[in-house]
Amino acid sequence: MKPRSLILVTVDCLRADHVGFLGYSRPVTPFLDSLAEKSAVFTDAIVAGAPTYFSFPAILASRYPLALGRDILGIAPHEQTIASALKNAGHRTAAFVAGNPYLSSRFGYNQGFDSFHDFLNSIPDGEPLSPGNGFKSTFNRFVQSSASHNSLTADAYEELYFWYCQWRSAAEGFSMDALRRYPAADVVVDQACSWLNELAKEPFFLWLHLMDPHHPYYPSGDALSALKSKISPRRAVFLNSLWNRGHVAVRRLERYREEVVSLYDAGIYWVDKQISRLAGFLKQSQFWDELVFAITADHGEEFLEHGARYHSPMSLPEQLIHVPLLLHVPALLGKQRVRTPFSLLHLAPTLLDAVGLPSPTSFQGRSFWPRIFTGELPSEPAVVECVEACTNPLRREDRIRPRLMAVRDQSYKLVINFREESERLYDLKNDPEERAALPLGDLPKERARLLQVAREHLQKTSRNLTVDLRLRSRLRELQQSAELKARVL
Amino acid sequence: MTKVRTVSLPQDLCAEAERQFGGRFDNIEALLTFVLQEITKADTSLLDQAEEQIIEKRLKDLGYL
Repeated sequence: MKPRSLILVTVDCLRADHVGFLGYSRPVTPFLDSLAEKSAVFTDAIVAGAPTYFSFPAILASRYPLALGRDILGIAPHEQTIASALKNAGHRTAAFVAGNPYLSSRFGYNQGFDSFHDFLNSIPDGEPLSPGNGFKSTFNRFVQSSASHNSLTADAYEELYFWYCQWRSAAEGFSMDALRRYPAADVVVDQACSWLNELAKEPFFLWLHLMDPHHPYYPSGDALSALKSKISPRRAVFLNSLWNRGHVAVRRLERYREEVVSLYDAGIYWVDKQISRLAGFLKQSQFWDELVFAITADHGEEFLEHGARYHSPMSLPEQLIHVPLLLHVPALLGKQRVRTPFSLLHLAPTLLDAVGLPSPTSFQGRSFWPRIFTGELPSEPAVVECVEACTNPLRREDRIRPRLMAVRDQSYKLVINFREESERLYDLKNDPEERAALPLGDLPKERARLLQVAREHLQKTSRNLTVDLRLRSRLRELQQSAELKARVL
Repeated sequence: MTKVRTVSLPQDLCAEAERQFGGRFDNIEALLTFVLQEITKADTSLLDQAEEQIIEKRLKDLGYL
């Protein structure tokens, strides 16, 4: 049988509870919702790590993020991935990655692709209106710090800052398109369609990584209009500036939360619209009926549910680790719902199986493909791991820190913070929003069961360390830092 | 000064390594020292071991180990 083609779309920061087919009430994903009626939807898909740099080794190489040692980033040189497996099987392969530097060739993500586009050359330097070091910025910081001593002056400062941002953005005439930090989904889809146009009838693998929901939140004006939002570019500048400020109290940020979420949702809407356009192109080109189409995310996004913003690896709440996963195979799958936890570690082997190919032996996950039809998926906990508070992975010392781990099954989630030597057990059935961890003495049997899973995971990690991949990665890093030094000198 | 040991390596392998990595390392000894240090380096594996012990202690406290 001729192997099928495969399209994998990954959306940065897309959390599970912000897509209609998993229950979101705002109509941000009309196309995906209709597709879900004819697809397998994994209602409990869990990332293997967060954020991007801890999530993608599992998505593309079916390998836990810290399995080569926590100081190793990205895909190791010569490591087998879904792309290399498909390329070896004769597929044409291409990736269009909307400017996420952690998914660039520097970290091996180009491996296995005939054609790799990371758009990094088209990203503007610096944030719009980012604070500088000049007199005005120093004065601003002084005023801000002085005003923060009581709530009245702090509120007054905030209002002043808002008007200052309004004035600056009006003076500079910003548009959403000019403010956006990453190529929008329409740009990425256009390029993907051009690549598809050049194909003959050979099977292909296309990976698209879309950044529209990623902060700073500057969605397309059309998306905002479609969602009946009246947020102007000026207002968006203010919201993003405020949301990005470290010191602002949560209670104050709460006032702006709905507007920030509206901007985020508009990014999701734009992704949905462009995927709909891609699907239309694929139908017209008669590719659609022959391919496996999957869409998921590398992690979610926090909007103050637990006090945090964005997606830093600080506590692994559901907003960060629970992502959508939809698998569409026109000729084979109808509407299916997989309700057991599904780690994205198993995604690459499942997709390869769906395409009709075996997985490389290096993959740590396994295929769930045949079981999707029978509905007999094993209910096993998903393990999520990252280096706690590692927000700048480019610094090696930031990577040599204690782990943060979550073991998540259908009913419970245990989050282990190794730096604090503490654990938090959540009862997801009765407290899905993780409002309060259960008291330490509660449910010792469930606690021990999940701890046992964590222990086995760590034992496997140390026992199965692939020394050659680790070494190659370290040599690559050394080579890159030497090249960087040479450029600087 | 640390005592040194002499090892024997195939000449063509050394030549190839020098060709590939000559720009980054002063000589083949420096390259091999780096590789061996990487293999034996303990910082990440020590953290792994410490984390395993934390879990084992917790399991013991709960009476499950």
